[in-house]
Amino acid sequence: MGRYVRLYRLFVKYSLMRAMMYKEDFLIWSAVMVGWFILTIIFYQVLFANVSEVAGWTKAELLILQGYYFVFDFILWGVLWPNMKQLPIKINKGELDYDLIRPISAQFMLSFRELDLDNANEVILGVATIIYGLRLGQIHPGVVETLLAIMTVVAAIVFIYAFYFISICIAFWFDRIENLHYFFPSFRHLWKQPQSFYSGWLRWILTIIVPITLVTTLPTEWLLMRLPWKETIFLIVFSLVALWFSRWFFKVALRRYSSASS
Amino acid sequence: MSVIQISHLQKYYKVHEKEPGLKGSIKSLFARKYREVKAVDDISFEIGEGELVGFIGPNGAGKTTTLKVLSGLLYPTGGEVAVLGYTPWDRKPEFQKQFSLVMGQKNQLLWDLPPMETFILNKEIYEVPDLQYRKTLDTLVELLDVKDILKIQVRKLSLGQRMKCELIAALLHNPKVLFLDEPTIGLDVVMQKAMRDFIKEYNRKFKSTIILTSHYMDDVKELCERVIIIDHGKLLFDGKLSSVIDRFARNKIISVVFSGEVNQRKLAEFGDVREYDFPKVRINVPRDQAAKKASQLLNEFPVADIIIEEPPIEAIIREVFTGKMRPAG
Repeated sequence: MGRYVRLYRLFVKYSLMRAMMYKEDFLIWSAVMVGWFILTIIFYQVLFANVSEVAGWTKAELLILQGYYFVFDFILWGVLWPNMKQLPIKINKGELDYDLIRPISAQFMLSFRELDLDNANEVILGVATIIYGLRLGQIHPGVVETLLAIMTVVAAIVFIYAFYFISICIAFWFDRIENLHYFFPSFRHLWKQPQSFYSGWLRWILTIIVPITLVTTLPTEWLLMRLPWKETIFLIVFSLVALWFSRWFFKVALRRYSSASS
Repeated sequence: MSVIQISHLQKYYKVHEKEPGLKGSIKSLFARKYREVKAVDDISFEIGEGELVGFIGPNGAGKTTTLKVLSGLLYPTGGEVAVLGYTPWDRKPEFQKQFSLVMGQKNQLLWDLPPMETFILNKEIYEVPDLQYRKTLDTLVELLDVKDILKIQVRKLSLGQRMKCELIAALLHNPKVLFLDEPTIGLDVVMQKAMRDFIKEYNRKFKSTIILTSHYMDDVKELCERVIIIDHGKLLFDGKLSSVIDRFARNKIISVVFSGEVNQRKLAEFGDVREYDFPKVRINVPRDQAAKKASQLLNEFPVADIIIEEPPIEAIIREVFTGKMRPAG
Protein backbone atom coordinates (compact mmCIF):
# COMPACT_ATOMS: atom_id res chain seq x y z
CA MET A 1 0.00 0.00 0.00
CA GLY A 2 2.84 2.38 0.90
CA ARG A 3 4.35 1.84 -2.52
CA TYR A 4 1.09 2.85 -4.21
CA VAL A 5 0.91 6.04 -2.15
CA ARG A 6 4.55 6.86 -3.03
CA LEU A 7 3.80 6.19 -6.69
CA TYR A 8 0.73 8.40 -6.66
CA ARG A 9 2.83 11.17 -5.12
CA LEU A 10 5.22 10.77 -8.07
CA PHE A 11 2.29 10.96 -10.52
CA VAL A 12 1.14 14.21 -8.88
CA LYS A 13 4.70 15.55 -9.01
CA TYR A 14 5.06 14.73 -12.71
CA SER A 15 1.70 16.29 -13.49
CA LEU A 16 2.72 19.45 -11.66
CA MET A 17 5.98 19.54 -13.62
CA ARG A 18 4.02 19.20 -16.86
CA ALA A 19 1.44 21.80 -15.82
CA MET A 20 4.26 24.26 -15.18
CA MET A 21 5.83 23.42 -18.52
CA TYR A 22 2.61 24.29 -20.31
CA LYS A 23 1.55 27.13 -18.05
CA GLU A 24 -0.50 28.91 -20.73
CA ASP A 25 -2.85 25.92 -20.85
CA PHE A 26 -3.09 25.98 -17.11
CA LEU A 27 -3.94 29.68 -17.01
CA ILE A 28 -6.53 29.49 -19.78
CA TRP A 29 -8.31 26.51 -18.25
CA SER A 30 -8.27 28.09 -14.82
CA ALA A 31 -9.97 31.14 -16.33
CA VAL A 32 -12.56 28.92 -18.07
CA MET A 33 -13.34 27.19 -14.77
CA VAL A 34 -13.81 30.50 -12.96
CA GLY A 35 -16.11 31.65 -15.78
CA TRP A 36 -18.16 28.50 -15.48
CA PHE A 37 -18.38 28.91 -11.75
CA ILE A 38 -19.60 32.49 -12.08
CA LEU A 39 -22.27 31.45 -14.64
CA THR A 40 -23.56 28.73 -12.31
CA ILE A 41 -23.81 31.15 -9.41
CA ILE A 42 -25.64 33.68 -11.61
CA PHE A 43 -28.07 30.92 -12.65
CA TYR A 44 -28.92 30.23 -9.00
CA GLN A 45 -29.29 33.95 -8.25
CA VAL A 46 -31.73 34.36 -11.13
CA LEU A 47 -33.65 31.19 -10.30
CA PHE A 48 -34.09 32.01 -6.63
CA ALA A 49 -35.06 35.63 -7.33
CA ASN A 50 -38.34 34.08 -8.55
CA VAL A 51 -38.87 31.09 -6.23
CA SER A 52 -37.92 30.33 -2.65
CA GLU A 53 -37.39 26.61 -3.10
CA VAL A 54 -37.29 23.88 -5.75
CA ALA A 55 -38.79 20.49 -4.88
CA GLY A 56 -38.14 21.21 -1.20
CA TRP A 57 -34.55 22.43 -1.70
CA THR A 58 -33.57 25.97 -0.74
CA LYS A 59 -30.94 28.07 -2.49
CA ALA A 60 -28.36 27.42 0.26
CA GLU A 61 -28.93 23.66 0.07
CA LEU A 62 -28.65 23.55 -3.70
CA LEU A 63 -25.47 25.63 -3.56
CA ILE A 64 -23.91 23.02 -1.26
CA LEU A 65 -24.88 20.30 -3.75
CA GLN A 66 -23.43 22.42 -6.55
CA GLY A 67 -20.19 22.71 -4.59
CA TYR A 68 -19.91 18.93 -4.51
CA TYR A 69 -20.65 18.87 -8.23
CA PHE A 70 -17.56 21.02 -8.80
CA VAL A 71 -15.42 18.71 -6.67
CA PHE A 72 -16.61 15.60 -8.53
CA ASP A 73 -16.09 17.40 -11.81
CA PHE A 74 -12.40 17.67 -11.03
CA ILE A 75 -12.26 13.98 -10.06
CA LEU A 76 -13.95 13.11 -13.35
CA TRP A 77 -12.02 15.39 -15.73
CA GLY A 78 -8.79 15.98 -13.87
CA VAL A 79 -8.08 12.64 -12.22
CA LEU A 80 -9.85 9.97 -14.28
CA TRP A 81 -10.47 11.30 -17.78
CA PRO A 82 -6.79 11.76 -18.82
CA ASN A 83 -6.23 8.06 -18.17
CA MET A 84 -9.54 6.77 -19.52
CA LYS A 85 -8.94 8.74 -22.72
CA GLN A 86 -5.65 6.91 -23.25
CA LEU A 87 -6.81 3.38 -22.50
CA PRO A 88 -8.85 2.59 -25.66
CA ILE A 89 -6.05 4.05 -27.80
CA LYS A 90 -3.47 1.93 -26.03
CA ILE A 91 -5.62 -1.19 -26.41
CA ASN A 92 -6.14 -0.50 -30.10
CA LYS A 93 -2.49 0.15 -30.83
CA GLY A 94 -1.24 -2.66 -28.61
CA GLU A 95 0.58 -0.29 -26.30
CA LEU A 96 -0.28 -1.90 -23.00
CA ASP A 97 2.89 -3.99 -23.12
CA TYR A 98 5.00 -1.93 -20.77
CA ASP A 99 2.11 -1.61 -18.32
CA LEU A 100 1.47 -5.32 -18.17
CA ILE A 101 5.01 -6.56 -17.57
CA ARG A 102 5.57 -4.56 -14.43
CA PRO A 103 5.37 -6.00 -10.92
CA ILE A 104 2.53 -3.71 -9.98
CA SER A 105 -1.22 -3.56 -10.55
CA ALA A 106 -1.67 -2.73 -14.23
CA GLN A 107 -5.13 -1.40 -13.42
CA PHE A 108 -3.61 1.08 -10.99
CA MET A 109 -1.00 2.25 -13.50
CA LEU A 110 -3.53 2.60 -16.30
CA SER A 111 -6.12 4.35 -14.15
CA PHE A 112 -4.11 6.93 -12.26
CA ARG A 113 -0.81 7.68 -13.96
CA GLU A 114 -1.92 10.92 -15.58
CA LEU A 115 -3.46 13.89 -13.84
CA ASP A 116 -4.70 17.01 -15.52
CA LEU A 117 -4.30 19.81 -13.04
CA ASP A 118 -5.62 22.47 -15.41
CA ASN A 119 -9.00 22.48 -13.69
CA ALA A 120 -7.71 21.80 -10.18
CA ASN A 121 -9.15 25.11 -9.02
CA GLU A 122 -12.59 23.49 -9.27
CA VAL A 123 -11.85 21.83 -5.94
CA ILE A 124 -11.17 25.19 -4.30
CA LEU A 125 -14.24 26.75 -5.96
CA GLY A 126 -16.32 23.71 -4.95
CA VAL A 127 -15.29 23.81 -1.30
CA ALA A 128 -15.78 27.59 -1.25
CA THR A 129 -19.31 27.13 -2.63
CA ILE A 130 -20.10 24.51 0.03
CA ILE A 131 -18.87 26.84 2.78
CA TYR A 132 -20.82 29.74 1.29
CA GLY A 133 -23.99 27.59 1.14
CA LEU A 134 -23.56 26.56 4.77
CA ARG A 135 -23.15 30.22 5.82
CA LEU A 136 -26.09 31.35 3.72
CA GLY A 137 -28.40 28.71 5.18
CA GLN A 138 -26.89 29.08 8.66
CA ILE A 139 -26.28 25.36 8.73
CA HIS A 140 -23.80 24.06 11.29
CA PRO A 141 -23.04 20.34 10.80
CA GLY A 142 -21.19 18.54 13.63
CA VAL A 143 -17.89 16.70 13.37
CA VAL A 144 -19.58 13.30 12.87
CA GLU A 145 -21.79 14.59 10.06
CA THR A 146 -18.81 16.26 8.37
CA LEU A 147 -16.76 13.06 8.59
CA LEU A 148 -19.66 11.04 7.19
CA ALA A 149 -20.04 13.56 4.38
CA ILE A 150 -16.36 13.07 3.51
CA MET A 151 -16.82 9.30 3.71
CA THR A 152 -19.71 9.40 1.26
CA VAL A 153 -17.59 11.54 -1.07
CA VAL A 154 -14.91 8.82 -1.00
CA ALA A 155 -17.52 6.10 -1.63
CA ALA A 156 -18.94 8.13 -4.52
CA ILE A 157 -15.46 8.57 -6.03
CA VAL A 158 -14.95 4.79 -5.86
CA PHE A 159 -18.34 4.31 -7.54
CA ILE A 160 -17.55 6.83 -10.30
CA TYR A 161 -14.12 5.31 -10.90
CA ALA A 162 -15.38 1.72 -11.04
CA PHE A 163 -18.18 2.49 -13.50
CA TYR A 164 -16.00 4.70 -15.66
CA PHE A 165 -13.27 2.05 -15.80
CA ILE A 166 -15.71 -0.77 -16.57
CA SER A 167 -17.25 1.26 -19.40
CA ILE A 168 -13.78 1.83 -20.89
CA CYS A 169 -12.85 -1.87 -20.67
CA ILE A 170 -15.50 -2.53 -23.32
CA ALA A 171 -12.84 -1.33 -25.77
CA PHE A 172 -11.06 -4.66 -25.30
CA TRP A 173 -13.86 -6.32 -27.26
CA PHE A 174 -13.91 -3.95 -30.20
CA ASP A 175 -11.22 -2.94 -32.65
CA ARG A 176 -11.81 0.72 -32.29
CA ILE A 177 -14.22 2.81 -30.28
CA GLU A 178 -13.62 6.50 -30.41
CA ASN A 179 -15.18 8.81 -27.86
CA LEU A 180 -15.88 5.93 -25.48
CA HIS A 181 -14.23 8.04 -22.80
CA TYR A 182 -17.03 10.62 -23.12
CA PHE A 183 -19.75 8.05 -22.49
CA PHE A 184 -19.63 7.78 -18.71
CA PRO A 185 -18.90 11.48 -17.99
CA SER A 186 -22.14 12.42 -19.77
CA PHE A 187 -23.99 10.90 -16.80
CA ARG A 188 -22.66 13.66 -14.57
CA HIS A 189 -25.64 15.79 -15.60
CA LEU A 190 -27.78 13.35 -13.63
CA TRP A 191 -26.02 14.11 -10.35
CA LYS A 192 -26.22 17.85 -10.85
CA GLN A 193 -29.71 17.65 -9.31
CA PRO A 194 -30.63 16.12 -5.96
CA GLN A 195 -32.21 12.69 -5.91
CA SER A 196 -35.63 14.02 -4.91
CA PHE A 197 -35.90 15.91 -8.24
CA TYR A 198 -36.51 12.53 -9.87
CA SER A 199 -39.67 10.51 -9.41
CA GLY A 200 -41.18 7.17 -10.34
CA TRP A 201 -39.20 4.52 -12.15
CA LEU A 202 -36.39 6.93 -13.10
CA ARG A 203 -35.68 7.66 -9.46
CA TRP A 204 -35.78 3.99 -8.67
CA ILE A 205 -33.29 3.14 -11.43
CA LEU A 206 -30.93 6.03 -10.59
CA THR A 207 -30.91 5.06 -6.92
CA ILE A 208 -31.00 1.27 -6.75
CA ILE A 209 -29.74 -0.01 -10.10
CA VAL A 210 -27.05 2.61 -10.63
CA PRO A 211 -26.97 4.97 -7.64
CA ILE A 212 -25.88 7.91 -9.73
CA THR A 213 -28.10 10.47 -8.03
CA LEU A 214 -26.62 9.60 -4.63
CA VAL A 215 -23.21 10.95 -5.68
CA THR A 216 -23.90 14.56 -4.74
CA THR A 217 -27.13 14.09 -2.76
CA LEU A 218 -25.69 11.98 0.06
CA PRO A 219 -22.74 14.18 1.11
CA THR A 220 -25.05 17.19 0.90
CA GLU A 221 -27.67 15.53 3.08
CA TRP A 222 -25.05 14.70 5.70
CA LEU A 223 -24.05 18.36 5.91
CA LEU A 224 -27.75 19.24 6.12
CA MET A 225 -27.93 16.73 9.02
CA ARG A 226 -30.68 14.65 7.40
CA LEU A 227 -28.82 11.47 8.46
CA PRO A 228 -29.27 9.28 5.35
CA TRP A 229 -27.86 6.13 7.02
CA LYS A 230 -29.52 3.53 4.84
CA GLU A 231 -28.51 5.13 1.55
CA THR A 232 -24.96 5.69 2.81
CA ILE A 233 -24.46 2.05 3.73
CA PHE A 234 -25.99 1.08 0.39
CA LEU A 235 -23.62 3.37 -1.55
CA ILE A 236 -20.56 2.10 0.33
CA VAL A 237 -21.44 -1.56 -0.28
CA PHE A 238 -22.39 -0.84 -3.88
CA SER A 239 -19.10 1.00 -4.52
CA LEU A 240 -16.97 -1.78 -3.04
CA VAL A 241 -18.79 -4.40 -5.11
CA ALA A 242 -18.38 -2.23 -8.22
CA LEU A 243 -14.65 -1.86 -7.50
CA TRP A 244 -14.27 -5.60 -7.08
CA PHE A 245 -16.22 -6.14 -10.31
CA SER A 246 -14.00 -3.68 -12.20
CA ARG A 247 -10.93 -5.68 -11.15
CA TRP A 248 -12.51 -8.95 -12.24
CA PHE A 249 -13.76 -7.45 -15.50
CA PHE A 250 -10.30 -6.04 -16.28
CA LYS A 251 -8.72 -9.46 -15.77
CA VAL A 252 -11.25 -11.04 -18.12
CA ALA A 253 -10.69 -8.22 -20.64
CA LEU A 254 -6.92 -8.71 -20.55
CA ARG A 255 -7.37 -12.25 -21.75
CA ARG A 256 -8.75 -10.76 -24.92
CA TYR A 257 -5.86 -8.40 -25.32
CA SER A 258 -3.68 -9.45 -28.16
CA SER A 259 -1.25 -6.65 -28.61
CA ALA A 260 -0.49 -5.49 -32.12
CA SER A 261 2.84 -6.81 -33.30
CA SER A 262 5.79 -4.43 -33.25
CA MET B 1 20.22 -25.24 -15.90
CA SER B 2 17.57 -23.98 -18.32
CA VAL B 3 16.28 -20.50 -17.62
CA ILE B 4 13.82 -20.56 -20.49
CA GLN B 5 11.93 -23.67 -21.55
CA ILE B 6 9.46 -23.69 -24.42
CA SER B 7 7.72 -26.85 -25.44
CA HIS B 8 5.39 -27.10 -28.45
CA LEU B 9 4.37 -23.46 -28.17
CA GLN B 10 1.46 -22.39 -30.37
CA LYS B 11 -0.13 -18.99 -30.73
CA TYR B 12 -2.95 -18.61 -33.22
CA TYR B 13 -4.83 -15.41 -33.96
CA LYS B 14 -8.20 -14.92 -35.55
CA VAL B 15 -8.01 -12.20 -38.17
CA HIS B 16 -11.07 -10.49 -39.55
CA GLU B 17 -11.15 -10.47 -43.36
CA LYS B 18 -13.09 -7.87 -45.32
CA GLU B 19 -13.75 -7.58 -49.01
CA PRO B 20 -12.74 -4.23 -50.52
CA GLY B 21 -15.11 -1.30 -50.93
CA LEU B 22 -18.33 -0.20 -49.28
CA LYS B 23 -20.11 -3.38 -50.31
CA GLY B 24 -17.51 -5.39 -48.46
CA SER B 25 -17.94 -3.20 -45.39
CA ILE B 26 -21.72 -3.68 -45.38
CA LYS B 27 -21.34 -7.41 -45.88
CA SER B 28 -18.94 -7.65 -42.97
CA LEU B 29 -21.50 -5.99 -40.71
CA PHE B 30 -23.70 -9.06 -40.99
CA ALA B 31 -21.37 -11.92 -41.71
CA ARG B 32 -17.79 -11.49 -40.61
CA LYS B 33 -15.25 -13.78 -42.12
CA TYR B 34 -12.41 -14.87 -39.93
CA ARG B 35 -9.16 -16.49 -40.86
CA GLU B 36 -6.81 -18.21 -38.46
CA VAL B 37 -3.20 -17.06 -38.51
CA LYS B 38 -0.61 -19.32 -36.98
CA ALA B 39 1.86 -16.75 -35.59
CA VAL B 40 3.77 -19.41 -33.69
CA ASP B 41 3.28 -23.01 -34.67
CA ASP B 42 4.78 -25.73 -32.49
CA ILE B 43 8.09 -24.27 -31.40
CA SER B 44 10.33 -25.86 -28.77
CA PHE B 45 13.70 -24.78 -27.38
CA GLU B 46 15.60 -24.25 -24.15
CA ILE B 47 18.00 -21.50 -23.15
CA GLY B 48 20.52 -21.83 -20.35
CA GLU B 49 21.70 -19.32 -17.77
CA GLY B 50 23.90 -16.53 -19.13
CA GLU B 51 23.33 -17.43 -22.77
CA LEU B 52 22.96 -14.67 -25.37
CA VAL B 53 20.81 -16.09 -28.13
CA GLY B 54 19.96 -14.46 -31.43
CA PHE B 55 16.35 -14.91 -32.47
CA ILE B 56 16.03 -14.22 -36.17
CA GLY B 57 13.39 -14.39 -38.83
CA PRO B 58 11.74 -12.17 -41.44
CA ASN B 59 8.87 -9.81 -40.60
CA GLY B 60 5.85 -11.74 -39.36
CA ALA B 61 7.91 -14.84 -38.55
CA GLY B 62 6.62 -14.96 -34.97
CA LYS B 63 9.63 -13.52 -33.13
CA THR B 64 7.83 -10.75 -31.29
CA THR B 65 4.85 -13.02 -30.56
CA THR B 66 7.21 -15.51 -28.92
CA LEU B 67 8.87 -12.78 -26.86
CA LYS B 68 5.45 -11.53 -25.78
CA VAL B 69 4.41 -14.99 -24.65
CA LEU B 70 7.69 -15.27 -22.72
CA SER B 71 6.98 -11.90 -21.07
CA GLY B 72 3.47 -12.95 -20.08
CA LEU B 73 1.80 -10.46 -22.42
CA LEU B 74 0.04 -13.08 -24.50
CA TYR B 75 -1.71 -16.27 -23.56
CA PRO B 76 -0.58 -19.09 -25.85
CA THR B 77 -3.02 -21.24 -27.78
CA GLY B 78 -1.11 -24.36 -26.78
CA GLY B 79 2.14 -25.68 -25.40
CA GLU B 80 4.12 -25.13 -22.25
CA VAL B 81 6.42 -22.29 -21.28
CA ALA B 82 8.56 -21.71 -18.20
CA VAL B 83 10.81 -18.73 -17.59
CA LEU B 84 12.90 -18.91 -14.38
CA GLY B 85 10.49 -21.64 -13.31
CA TYR B 86 7.42 -19.40 -13.64
CA THR B 87 4.53 -19.55 -16.08
CA PRO B 88 4.82 -16.07 -17.64
CA TRP B 89 1.12 -15.33 -18.17
CA ASP B 90 0.39 -15.88 -14.47
CA ARG B 91 2.12 -12.49 -14.26
CA LYS B 92 3.42 -13.02 -10.74
CA PRO B 93 5.25 -9.93 -9.40
CA GLU B 94 8.13 -12.17 -8.20
CA PHE B 95 8.63 -13.20 -11.82
CA GLN B 96 8.12 -9.72 -13.27
CA LYS B 97 10.86 -8.33 -11.02
CA GLN B 98 13.36 -10.69 -12.62
CA PHE B 99 13.02 -9.95 -16.30
CA SER B 100 12.85 -7.01 -18.63
CA LEU B 101 11.63 -6.36 -22.13
CA VAL B 102 13.04 -3.67 -24.39
CA MET B 103 11.23 -2.95 -27.63
CA GLY B 104 13.10 -0.81 -30.12
CA GLN B 105 9.88 0.52 -31.60
CA LYS B 106 8.09 1.40 -28.38
CA ASN B 107 9.09 3.60 -25.54
CA GLN B 108 8.49 3.54 -21.83
CA LEU B 109 10.24 6.81 -21.00
CA LEU B 110 8.04 9.67 -19.80
CA TRP B 111 7.93 11.82 -22.91
CA ASP B 112 7.70 15.32 -21.45
CA LEU B 113 10.14 14.79 -18.60
CA PRO B 114 13.87 14.09 -18.29
CA PRO B 115 14.85 10.36 -18.34
CA MET B 116 15.89 10.61 -14.69
CA GLU B 117 12.20 10.80 -13.73
CA THR B 118 11.43 7.49 -15.44
CA PHE B 119 14.33 5.92 -13.57
CA ILE B 120 12.94 7.17 -10.26
CA LEU B 121 9.49 5.85 -11.19
CA ASN B 122 10.89 2.42 -12.09
CA LYS B 123 12.87 2.33 -8.87
CA GLU B 124 9.58 2.62 -6.98
CA ILE B 125 7.71 0.17 -9.21
CA TYR B 126 10.41 -2.49 -8.95
CA GLU B 127 11.13 -1.68 -5.29
CA VAL B 128 14.86 -1.30 -5.90
CA PRO B 129 16.70 -0.48 -2.63
CA ASP B 130 18.37 2.98 -2.60
CA LEU B 131 21.95 1.72 -2.50
CA GLN B 132 21.46 -0.83 -5.28
CA TYR B 133 19.66 1.78 -7.37
CA ARG B 134 22.49 4.29 -7.10
CA LYS B 135 25.12 1.66 -7.82
CA THR B 136 23.34 0.21 -10.85
CA LEU B 137 22.46 3.62 -12.22
CA ASP B 138 26.08 4.82 -11.92
CA THR B 139 27.36 1.69 -13.66
CA LEU B 140 24.84 1.91 -16.51
CA VAL B 141 25.28 5.65 -16.99
CA GLU B 142 29.03 5.15 -17.26
CA LEU B 143 28.80 2.14 -19.58
CA LEU B 144 26.42 3.97 -21.92
CA ASP B 145 28.03 7.37 -21.51
CA VAL B 146 24.82 9.33 -20.93
CA LYS B 147 25.74 11.46 -17.93
CA ASP B 148 25.12 14.72 -19.77
CA ILE B 149 21.60 13.97 -20.99
CA LEU B 150 19.90 12.72 -17.82
CA LYS B 151 18.31 16.08 -17.11
CA ILE B 152 17.16 16.87 -20.65
CA GLN B 153 13.52 16.26 -21.65
CA VAL B 154 13.13 12.90 -23.40
CA ARG B 155 11.41 14.45 -26.41
CA LYS B 156 14.49 16.57 -27.05
CA LEU B 157 16.86 13.58 -27.15
CA SER B 158 18.06 11.86 -30.32
CA LEU B 159 16.81 8.34 -31.09
CA GLY B 160 20.14 6.86 -30.04
CA GLN B 161 20.24 8.76 -26.75
CA ARG B 162 16.66 7.73 -26.08
CA MET B 163 17.40 4.08 -26.74
CA LYS B 164 20.29 4.19 -24.29
CA CYS B 165 17.96 5.62 -21.65
CA GLU B 166 15.32 2.97 -22.49
CA LEU B 167 17.96 0.36 -21.73
CA ILE B 168 18.83 1.95 -18.40
CA ALA B 169 15.14 2.13 -17.44
CA ALA B 170 14.79 -1.56 -18.29
CA LEU B 171 17.90 -2.68 -16.42
CA LEU B 172 17.71 -0.74 -13.16
CA HIS B 173 16.26 -3.73 -11.33
CA ASN B 174 19.07 -6.03 -12.50
CA PRO B 175 16.88 -8.47 -14.44
CA LYS B 176 18.12 -12.05 -14.74
CA VAL B 177 16.43 -12.42 -18.10
CA LEU B 178 16.39 -9.79 -20.80
CA PHE B 179 14.32 -9.77 -23.99
CA LEU B 180 15.66 -7.32 -26.55
CA ASP B 181 13.33 -6.83 -29.48
CA GLU B 182 15.22 -4.98 -32.19
CA PRO B 183 17.08 -2.66 -29.85
CA THR B 184 19.21 -1.19 -32.64
CA ILE B 185 16.41 -0.42 -35.09
CA GLY B 186 16.73 3.00 -36.71
CA LEU B 187 20.11 3.74 -35.15
CA ASP B 188 23.12 4.88 -37.15
CA VAL B 189 26.10 2.53 -37.44
CA VAL B 190 28.11 4.23 -34.70
CA MET B 191 25.22 4.01 -32.27
CA GLN B 192 24.50 0.40 -33.30
CA LYS B 193 28.06 -0.48 -32.45
CA ALA B 194 27.82 1.29 -29.09
CA MET B 195 24.66 -0.68 -28.31
CA ARG B 196 26.24 -3.97 -29.29
CA ASP B 197 29.30 -3.29 -27.14
CA PHE B 198 27.03 -2.49 -24.24
CA ILE B 199 24.89 -5.62 -24.61
CA LYS B 200 28.01 -7.78 -24.82
CA GLU B 201 29.53 -6.15 -21.77
CA TYR B 202 26.28 -6.35 -19.81
CA ASN B 203 25.90 -10.04 -20.56
CA ARG B 204 29.50 -10.71 -19.50
CA LYS B 205 29.31 -8.61 -16.35
CA PHE B 206 25.90 -9.62 -15.02
CA LYS B 207 25.63 -13.15 -16.44
CA SER B 208 22.08 -12.37 -17.53
CA THR B 209 20.26 -14.53 -20.04
CA ILE B 210 19.46 -12.54 -23.17
CA ILE B 211 17.29 -13.18 -26.21
CA LEU B 212 17.97 -10.70 -28.98
CA THR B 213 15.92 -10.21 -32.11
CA SER B 214 17.31 -8.02 -34.84
CA HIS B 215 17.08 -7.38 -38.53
CA TYR B 216 20.74 -6.45 -38.59
CA MET B 217 22.88 -9.53 -39.08
CA ASP B 218 25.85 -7.58 -37.67
CA ASP B 219 24.12 -7.53 -34.28
CA VAL B 220 23.66 -11.27 -34.33
CA LYS B 221 27.09 -12.04 -35.76
CA GLU B 222 28.89 -9.99 -33.19
CA LEU B 223 26.86 -10.95 -30.13
CA CYS B 224 25.38 -14.41 -30.46
CA GLU B 225 27.09 -17.74 -30.61
CA ARG B 226 23.76 -19.46 -30.82
CA VAL B 227 20.90 -18.53 -33.11
CA ILE B 228 17.33 -19.67 -33.40
CA ILE B 229 15.81 -19.11 -36.81
CA ILE B 230 12.04 -19.08 -37.27
CA ASP B 231 9.85 -18.44 -40.25
CA HIS B 232 6.07 -18.62 -40.64
CA GLY B 233 5.87 -19.58 -36.98
CA LYS B 234 8.03 -22.69 -37.45
CA LEU B 235 11.47 -23.31 -36.07
CA LEU B 236 13.95 -23.72 -38.93
CA PHE B 237 17.21 -23.88 -37.08
CA ASP B 238 18.57 -23.89 -33.53
CA GLY B 239 22.31 -24.10 -33.05
CA LYS B 240 25.64 -22.39 -33.44
CA LEU B 241 25.71 -19.50 -35.86
CA SER B 242 28.72 -21.05 -37.55
CA SER B 243 26.79 -24.21 -38.32
CA VAL B 244 24.03 -22.29 -40.13
CA ILE B 245 26.47 -22.41 -43.04
CA ASP B 246 26.95 -26.20 -42.87
CA ARG B 247 23.25 -26.70 -42.59
CA PHE B 248 21.91 -24.41 -45.26
CA ALA B 249 24.69 -23.48 -47.66
CA ARG B 250 24.73 -25.60 -50.79
CA ASN B 251 27.56 -23.71 -52.44
CA LYS B 252 31.04 -22.43 -51.81
CA ILE B 253 32.66 -19.50 -53.52
CA ILE B 254 35.93 -19.84 -55.41
CA SER B 255 37.72 -16.50 -55.79
CA VAL B 256 40.39 -16.52 -58.45
CA VAL B 257 42.89 -13.97 -59.65
CA PHE B 258 44.17 -14.87 -63.14
CA SER B 259 47.64 -14.10 -64.45
CA GLY B 260 46.70 -14.18 -68.16
CA GLU B 261 43.86 -14.25 -70.70
CA VAL B 262 41.02 -16.73 -70.05
CA ASN B 263 38.20 -18.10 -72.17
CA GLN B 264 35.03 -16.86 -70.48
CA ARG B 265 32.78 -19.48 -72.01
CA LYS B 266 35.02 -22.23 -70.73
CA LEU B 267 35.05 -20.64 -67.30
CA ALA B 268 31.24 -20.73 -67.18
CA GLU B 269 31.34 -24.52 -67.34
CA PHE B 270 32.90 -24.59 -63.85
CA GLY B 271 29.92 -23.11 -62.10
CA ASP B 272 27.85 -20.00 -61.63
CA VAL B 273 30.10 -16.99 -62.37
CA ARG B 274 28.88 -14.36 -59.95
CA GLU B 275 31.42 -11.62 -60.54
CA TYR B 276 33.69 -11.07 -63.51
CA ASP B 277 36.05 -8.17 -62.96
CA PHE B 278 39.13 -9.36 -64.79
CA PRO B 279 41.56 -10.49 -63.52
CA LYS B 280 39.34 -11.14 -60.43
CA VAL B 281 36.50 -13.67 -60.74
CA ARG B 282 34.10 -15.21 -58.20
CA ILE B 283 32.39 -18.50 -59.03
CA ASN B 284 29.69 -20.33 -57.07
CA VAL B 285 30.23 -24.07 -57.03
CA PRO B 286 28.46 -26.96 -55.25
CA ARG B 287 30.04 -27.52 -51.82
CA ASP B 288 31.08 -31.13 -52.37
CA GLN B 289 32.84 -30.29 -55.63
CA ALA B 290 34.70 -27.18 -54.45
CA ALA B 291 38.13 -28.83 -54.01
CA LYS B 292 37.89 -30.71 -57.31
CA LYS B 293 36.82 -27.60 -59.24
CA ALA B 294 39.62 -25.55 -57.69
CA SER B 295 42.24 -28.08 -58.75
CA GLN B 296 40.77 -28.17 -62.27
CA LEU B 297 40.95 -24.40 -62.44
CA LEU B 298 44.60 -24.51 -61.39
CA ASN B 299 45.35 -27.03 -64.10
CA GLU B 300 43.43 -25.44 -66.96
CA PHE B 301 43.88 -21.68 -66.42
CA PRO B 302 46.75 -19.30 -65.68
CA VAL B 303 45.97 -18.73 -61.97
CA ALA B 304 47.88 -16.23 -59.84
CA ASP B 305 45.83 -16.70 -56.67
CA ILE B 306 42.89 -18.87 -55.59
CA ILE B 307 40.75 -19.02 -52.40
CA ILE B 308 37.76 -21.21 -51.47
CA GLU B 309 35.31 -19.23 -49.31
CA GLU B 310 32.05 -19.79 -47.46
CA PRO B 311 29.21 -17.57 -48.66
CA PRO B 312 28.44 -14.68 -46.25
CA ILE B 313 25.98 -15.61 -43.51
CA GLU B 314 23.67 -12.75 -44.48
CA ALA B 315 23.28 -14.19 -47.94
CA ILE B 316 22.51 -17.66 -46.60
CA ILE B 317 19.90 -16.43 -44.17
CA ARG B 318 18.34 -14.19 -46.80
CA GLU B 319 17.98 -17.17 -49.05
CA VAL B 320 16.56 -19.30 -46.25
CA PHE B 321 13.87 -16.67 -45.69
CA THR B 322 13.02 -16.24 -49.31
CA GLY B 323 12.49 -19.98 -49.52
CA LYS B 324 15.27 -20.51 -52.00
CA MET B 325 17.12 -22.66 -49.58
CA ARG B 326 16.10 -25.60 -47.45
CA PRO B 327 18.45 -27.56 -45.20
CA ALA B 328 21.23 -29.13 -47.25
CA GLY B 329 21.59 -32.86 -46.84
